[in-house]
Amino acid sequence: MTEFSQALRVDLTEDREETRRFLVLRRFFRSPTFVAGFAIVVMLVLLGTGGVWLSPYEATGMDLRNRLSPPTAQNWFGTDNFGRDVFTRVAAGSQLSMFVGLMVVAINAVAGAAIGALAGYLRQLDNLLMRVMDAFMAFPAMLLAIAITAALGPSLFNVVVALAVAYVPKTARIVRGTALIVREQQYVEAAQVAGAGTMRILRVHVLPNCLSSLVVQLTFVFASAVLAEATLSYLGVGLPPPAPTWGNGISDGREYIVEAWWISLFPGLAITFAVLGFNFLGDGLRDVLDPHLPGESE
Amino acid sequence: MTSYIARRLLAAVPVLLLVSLLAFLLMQIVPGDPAHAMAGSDASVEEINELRRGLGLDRPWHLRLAEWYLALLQGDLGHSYTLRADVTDLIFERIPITLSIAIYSMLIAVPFSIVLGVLAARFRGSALDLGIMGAALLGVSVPNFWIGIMAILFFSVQLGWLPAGGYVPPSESVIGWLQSMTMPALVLGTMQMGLLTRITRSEMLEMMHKDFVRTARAKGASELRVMMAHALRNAIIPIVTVIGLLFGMIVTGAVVVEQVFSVPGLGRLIVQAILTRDYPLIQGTLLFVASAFVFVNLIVDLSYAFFDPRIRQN
Repeated sequence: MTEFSQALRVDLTEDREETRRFLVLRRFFRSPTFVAGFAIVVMLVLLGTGGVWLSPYEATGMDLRNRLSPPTAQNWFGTDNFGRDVFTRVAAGSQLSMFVGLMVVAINAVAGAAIGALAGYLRQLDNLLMRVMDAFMAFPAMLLAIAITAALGPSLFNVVVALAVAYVPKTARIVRGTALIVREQQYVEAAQVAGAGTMRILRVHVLPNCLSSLVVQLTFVFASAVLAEATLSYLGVGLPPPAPTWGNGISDGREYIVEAWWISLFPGLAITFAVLGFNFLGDGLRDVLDPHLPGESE
Repeated sequence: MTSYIARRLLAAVPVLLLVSLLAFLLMQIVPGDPAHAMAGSDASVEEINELRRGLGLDRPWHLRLAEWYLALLQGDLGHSYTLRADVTDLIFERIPITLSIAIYSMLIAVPFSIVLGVLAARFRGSALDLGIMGAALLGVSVPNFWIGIMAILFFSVQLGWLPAGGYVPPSESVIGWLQSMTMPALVLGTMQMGLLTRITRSEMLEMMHKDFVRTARAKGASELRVMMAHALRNAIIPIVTVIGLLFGMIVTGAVVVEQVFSVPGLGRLIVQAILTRDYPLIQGTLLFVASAFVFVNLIVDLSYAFFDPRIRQN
């Protein structure tokens, strides 16, 4: 510990910025929930990349002579009704889930931050923007996503669009809440008096201060998007069947639940694991970044 | 209080207007048009044209929007093409089934999670707290359709205790009804329990550090009284909010759970409408659910005033 703190002291004199980042990181890694979440997410990424690469099977490659095989040394998670390797499909499903999650989070980050910051900082826009968001939020998020994919048709792009539309209003509302507080701060007033333009104030003062609540919200959006994507697949409005999504896997196994429980079991465990990981990550981030934010993850 | 209720009711009007507009627009974003999608790929041009006339899609959109609102004011949500019945009638047929699963699951979830949340808060940092919080996080992370399938595997296939699905109306057999509803209600309750336990714990923790709790302890009130009459009494408002918010989750959950257990409720109607591309039915059911959601939120807001007299003042 003494060695460590000495190293720290040397750092302080050498490079303040780097030390500050290091200290923030150290605070994250002190939170057990953050570490657990981080570990799970790393494992999922490894599963999605390494698992698919290592597996001798194709996610959609059928082998009808080897249908409904229980877990063996060759097929770790068994095979499904088409003789496809369940492990390879779960690994490939991890790629799909992560991709959908990342896209939904990216759209949420841009649109949610823009709408939220504008509504929170510019009072003229607040009422209009937030009433529109309220109308979207009047639909349960999942149901809105189901409705949009039902209207647009099932595809990867439409699933991302539907989930983004479903979660942006809540993200915007959370950013707006923080922006409302920031705009009353004296440094914002000082910037206004100094003649800074609206865009500059939004960019330099409002948005950076909304960042921590935004990041926490985005982790929960990621968790929700993974869960919602699986649900859409299961209901038949997500990615259409040959795609190895986790939801499709569970849905495939539904008919064979008595004789081949492994088809549904493993994708379900994967979803639980992934969502749990992002919830942990969100809880950990919130504890460190935003100790006063109320606990909630829908 | 009356003026408070009136103000809240008025504030719900623009939201409902926008919600109904969104439900109308849903039908307009279908690529091609709904007649094409509903008729399927092997339909002739005449069939599609007839369907289009039947749906009124051959008329300009502003006329259709006006008619949509005129019909809504009369409680008319349109006509289902696949089920050949009025959407309103179909919805009201299904409501009691979904509502009974919802109430059943809340009767299980609410008391359980409040007790668990209070216990976790009271014994913060103990193994009990860790166990409860771990289970609660698992509850919000696990996909309910998967839990449903696994529950069927365990309770129906392995143990043979409960039916794997289907619905028995209470008029036929009360026991059969209870048996058919138990698994769906439990599965629907898992996520609610997870969420509500977490909220109860964090609200209780906040209240336990307040001065009035210390005062209650100092004057010698029993621990049970301190927790229930002082801490929980003040933590109840956020908890009630979450119970209200759970409504949205219950509706989405019902869509999934009714599908898994083949229960002919409102959720199954929505999925059926989507899979058969019955757009008037999709539109009508969604609008109904969203309006119900708005009203539940309204009731939640009004209940704050009931639980906390300070809110009535401003």
